[in-house]
Amino acid sequence: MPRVSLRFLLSLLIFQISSFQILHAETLCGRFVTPEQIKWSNSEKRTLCGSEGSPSWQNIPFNQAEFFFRSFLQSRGYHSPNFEKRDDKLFVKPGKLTVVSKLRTFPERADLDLDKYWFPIGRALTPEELNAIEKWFAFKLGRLGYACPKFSMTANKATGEVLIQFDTGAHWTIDEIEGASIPQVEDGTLDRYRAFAIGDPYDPVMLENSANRLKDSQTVINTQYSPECAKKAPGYIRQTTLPGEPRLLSFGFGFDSENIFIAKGSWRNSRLSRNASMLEVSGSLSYRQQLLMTSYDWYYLPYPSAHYLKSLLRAEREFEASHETRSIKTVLAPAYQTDWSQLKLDMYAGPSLSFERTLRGDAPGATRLLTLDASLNIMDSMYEYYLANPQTGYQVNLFGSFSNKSAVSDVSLAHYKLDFTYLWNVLNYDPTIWILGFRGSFATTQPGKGTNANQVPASFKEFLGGSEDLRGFARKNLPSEGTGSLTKVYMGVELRLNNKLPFNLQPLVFYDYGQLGDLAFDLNPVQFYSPGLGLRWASPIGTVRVSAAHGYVAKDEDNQYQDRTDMQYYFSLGEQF
Amino acid sequence: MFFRHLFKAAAYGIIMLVEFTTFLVIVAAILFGIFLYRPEWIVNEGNLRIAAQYVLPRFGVELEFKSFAADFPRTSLYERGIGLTFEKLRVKTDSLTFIAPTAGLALAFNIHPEHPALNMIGPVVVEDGIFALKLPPDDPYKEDEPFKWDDKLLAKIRAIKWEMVSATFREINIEKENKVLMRGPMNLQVFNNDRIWTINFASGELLGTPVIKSKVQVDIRLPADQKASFPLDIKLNGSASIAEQGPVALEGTMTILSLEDLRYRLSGSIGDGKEIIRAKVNGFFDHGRFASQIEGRADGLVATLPQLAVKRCRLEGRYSLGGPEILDSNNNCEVFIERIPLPEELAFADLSPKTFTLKVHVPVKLTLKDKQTYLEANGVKAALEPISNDVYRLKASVVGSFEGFLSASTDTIKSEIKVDSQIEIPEFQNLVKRLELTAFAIPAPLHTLQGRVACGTQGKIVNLGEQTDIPLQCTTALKSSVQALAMDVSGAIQTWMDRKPKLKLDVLFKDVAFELPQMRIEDPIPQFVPDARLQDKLEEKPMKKVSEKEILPIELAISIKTAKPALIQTHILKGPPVPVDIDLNITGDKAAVAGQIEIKNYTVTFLKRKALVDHVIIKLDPTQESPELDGLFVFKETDFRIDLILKGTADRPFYYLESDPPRSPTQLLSMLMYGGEADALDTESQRSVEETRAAMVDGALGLLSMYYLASTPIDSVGYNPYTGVFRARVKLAKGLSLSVGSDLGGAHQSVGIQKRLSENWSFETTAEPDQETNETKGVALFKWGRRY
Repeated sequence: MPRVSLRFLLSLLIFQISSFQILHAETLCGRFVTPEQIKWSNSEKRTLCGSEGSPSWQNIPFNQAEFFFRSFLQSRGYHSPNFEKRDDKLFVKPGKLTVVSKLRTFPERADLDLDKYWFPIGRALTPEELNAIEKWFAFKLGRLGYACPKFSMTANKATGEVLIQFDTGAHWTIDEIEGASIPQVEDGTLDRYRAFAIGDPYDPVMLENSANRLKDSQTVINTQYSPECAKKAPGYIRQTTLPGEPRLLSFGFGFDSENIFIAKGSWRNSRLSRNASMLEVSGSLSYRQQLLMTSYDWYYLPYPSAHYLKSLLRAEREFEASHETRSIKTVLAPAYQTDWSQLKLDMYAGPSLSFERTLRGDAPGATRLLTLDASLNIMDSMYEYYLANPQTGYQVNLFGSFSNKSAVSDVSLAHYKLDFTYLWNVLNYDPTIWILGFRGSFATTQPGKGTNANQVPASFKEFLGGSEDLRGFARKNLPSEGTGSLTKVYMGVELRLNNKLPFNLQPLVFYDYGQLGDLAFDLNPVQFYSPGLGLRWASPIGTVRVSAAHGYVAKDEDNQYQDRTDMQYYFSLGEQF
Repeated sequence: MFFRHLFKAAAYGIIMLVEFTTFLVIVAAILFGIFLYRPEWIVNEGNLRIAAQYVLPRFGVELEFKSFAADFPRTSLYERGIGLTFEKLRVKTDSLTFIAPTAGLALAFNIHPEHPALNMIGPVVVEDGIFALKLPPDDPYKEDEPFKWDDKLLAKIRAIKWEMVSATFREINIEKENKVLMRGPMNLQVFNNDRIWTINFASGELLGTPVIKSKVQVDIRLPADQKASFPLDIKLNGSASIAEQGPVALEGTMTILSLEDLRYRLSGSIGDGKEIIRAKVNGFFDHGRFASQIEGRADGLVATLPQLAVKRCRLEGRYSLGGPEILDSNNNCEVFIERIPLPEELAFADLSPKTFTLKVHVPVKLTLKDKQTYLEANGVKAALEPISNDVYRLKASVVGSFEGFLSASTDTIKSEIKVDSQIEIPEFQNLVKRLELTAFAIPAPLHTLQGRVACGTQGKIVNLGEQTDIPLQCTTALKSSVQALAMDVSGAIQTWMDRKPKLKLDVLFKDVAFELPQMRIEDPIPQFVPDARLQDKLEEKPMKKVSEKEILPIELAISIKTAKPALIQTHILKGPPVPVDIDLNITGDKAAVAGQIEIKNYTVTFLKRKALVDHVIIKLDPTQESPELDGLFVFKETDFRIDLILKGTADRPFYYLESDPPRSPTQLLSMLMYGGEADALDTESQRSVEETRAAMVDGALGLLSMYYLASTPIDSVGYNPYTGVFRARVKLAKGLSLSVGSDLGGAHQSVGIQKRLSENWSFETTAEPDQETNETKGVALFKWGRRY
């Protein structure tokens, strides 16, 4: 009796295992049994099984089906499949998935930094993956100045080793750019947007930056620089441009957790003269800020140049928790944009006249200011290149504004502001894995002779709190009294994980620190800090950032800020870092 | 006085000489008498020892023995005999060594002065002997004289009576120039019994020869008449073990009626077990006529041929050793070949013939011309018995003629062999069904074709391969409900001694129609063939140039043409099949392909419009890395005509747009892609048009991508000129879009990401710099925009 029971149990077990296997297999057109986890496209199924519309492809021989299966499986990374013909069916076993295990080149080149290119390692070895490696390699050689390399790639199906054999071709310097003229614009005018100069080594990053600058200026709809490999001598680049119409009328609306709702409208003519001067009238409307601005960048020189006269007229209403102000400001300043040593430099210096009125808050009721403003923006080429997905490089902004009571102004002020962002690709992986970012801001306003601190207008006062600095505090919630401080210092450090998680999710951890000062160049002992966590998602429609942080206050002997320490959550769309 | 003394001295000398001569004669007479009547006084052990010690060494002979006995029987005054017996005999000269523990020899002779003769030899006994012989080196200047029977000597040998010979040698060693010709143990017994001589020979391993062991018995029956030489009946039975060959056995009988009349029946074998050759020969030589019947079989000699047999082989004719006509024969054989099918053939073993029977007819004439042997063999035939089964019919035959001098090298033999073979497949579907489950299954879409296929060769091979010219022909007449394959292939394989063989083929497609699998435009194209980049082994080598193609061991001269356009039903391009004309030539030992593939006069829906494919020509040039393209698509409307011109290469095709009336390329492309003027398009569409134009001009828009774009409405386009990657979103249905082409790259995204929602509305995220401080701030908006 026990023996019979044991046999029965064994049979039942075997039957269940077989059924389990059968249930996890898919049968195509009654002839091919394949594992369920491999999904075949409709075209693949029709190739294997034929269809009513293509009778010549029905009932294809098993060895031909085997040939197709090998190719289809190869496109998925299975390179050693097994096939078994049994009971008028072909059983397909995909075998082991081969992943990319190693990359090497022939000849070897240390400057390729192949060991830093980690991304393909561990991914399925497929033709598509090889194409991606080829693209990376072409771009990498381009960055070394080789615009037209020839290379061939082979990969070992069993070990996953990939070998790239290449001939760099000639090293390019950019000798000539040929492009069609833009209607109504002097030839050479738009060269001011170039991040490179004739004679510079070929670098696709510089070419891309140049194209993006031109597109962002809205002067043209699109432009591209293409190296001419086949036709001309090395160094010949062709620029194709779609100028589009010069005038652009746009309206838009959006939202974020600080401004809640934003509406914007603008009219712009980006080719107002033969030197492509730009005139823009724009307005924006949000809960916090209403703004109407007219700006005119006038390229005044009779020949193509990067020198222009920056002028703007701005009317603004600011509605914050601590204050409400209205202001009108006009600026007229010579400006200049240039590139130097892979840095983009934007600068201007000139007078501005502003009228500011404080409707609510601890600030002077009305202030007239004639200031000398100066600004310098320095942006690293790699920061510019990765602007949509910051991961390396730096940017520094310097701004100064100076007024004197004896010269039209109601107050004498010297306002200094420094902002910087520095991103470090930790261990220099390509693509990046860990991004360590530092951002900071230092601003101070020094009242001049005959001016008290309480005479400083709200626009020159500093606040902390919000998604731009201390994320553990509400927007501009610090200081707790008055209409801002004369000095602020902010430092934030953030560590973000990139390219490791699915769906482009990038978790981050950050620590913000800030201090305020009631006097210029002086900081109060109270320290504010907010550690937190966040998530960045490079979604198809833009960068989504969410953060959760808790504000803390140290050395708050007067307990001024204890009611401001709480969890803060921020959501933004479009904000990159 | 002087002369007198001289005369006296001379006289004395003469007398002395006479007396000495007389003395010698007397002594010789005495010795002769002693030898006659008392030979034991001369030939005895003591005298032999003295001779061995003092006399023989002067002649370079060493003689040693333990004991020696001689016996001198006599039957009459003249009939004498001598018997010698040695114990522990050792004879050594410079070239010969003979050692025997026991040796004996008996002779009988007649000493009659008028007819002295050796009457009898034997018994000869050698027990456990050792014999070593060093042969002198060949004299390079000595001319070989042909062997000639010495009739007188033959007569004398025939007259001798032979008694028993029993010689057992522990070792016989024959050397020449320090090289062992033969060394090993050997036994020989010869004895007769009433006119039957029996010779037994046996040996062990004979170094210097392939013999490991041997044993032969020959019985010779002498004629009853003792004086007659013939007839002789010989019975032979022998076996040996030969290195590498294995056991060899031979038995048979031979009757020699005279030197010109010989009959024989022999059978033998070489090898054993699985590898063995057996043969039986019987026949006769009779006064210039001969006939032989041969049956032979070789099993396992060649791995793939388990049996090779010669059956019913009859050789017959006339011969004359003295010439001038040495041989005139007519020979017919049946050769049977059994082969082992290759492992790949096992699946269709019934189709693959295992046995072949060749009927061979070889008439041969050998004549003596200019003291050399001249061969004439005209009308040599070998015909394969036709093979026929459900699937194919095969027949083949070869007719040849050979002529030339045999004694010179075979290069001087002129030959001409005509080959004629044909294989026919009467019904292609039978072949398809038969091969269906094998590794040689006919692939789709060919496997649905029905009809006849026939191939044949008719040609000749001249001078044993010095020159070969074998024409080939193949014809197919295949059809199915939607497909057709009718082609004629004619060509030749030509070989020469002094250059590479050449394959000439003219392939003419008379009627071709094929159907491709039905695929959906929205699906990515499957990978139909393995990617050549994925390999079993990696090899580092410099980048290959076009000129560095592999050199083939054969020259090619292949032309491929279509008599009328081949029709390819794609199932993706709606409408009739695509007509393709082919005119290609493959030449040289690098298989250089030149020619063109052309599509022309074909209407297709392209970019949402009816377009006439005026022509698309793909030109192949072996000096170019990539085939050149030349194409023209014509879009004709009532009020305008747009020409889409295709140029460039297959790797980088370039497209240009021209129109009548003339318009800018951007305008033309926007009309084709979006059906409207460029100015009326929104920014995103305008950008798409421009990027498409850039990609078209750059050569980044491959034929396949263009084909996809042309087949569906385009949503948007992206193009990265640095990696040459083109990406497009095509609208398949409401709310459904598909990306084709490759992604622009994962690491880098545009700053301004814009997702178009409708003609003017889009969702946009940008980084806007502050006008005053230049700080950038990200903003995301639903945006309406219009350029004017």
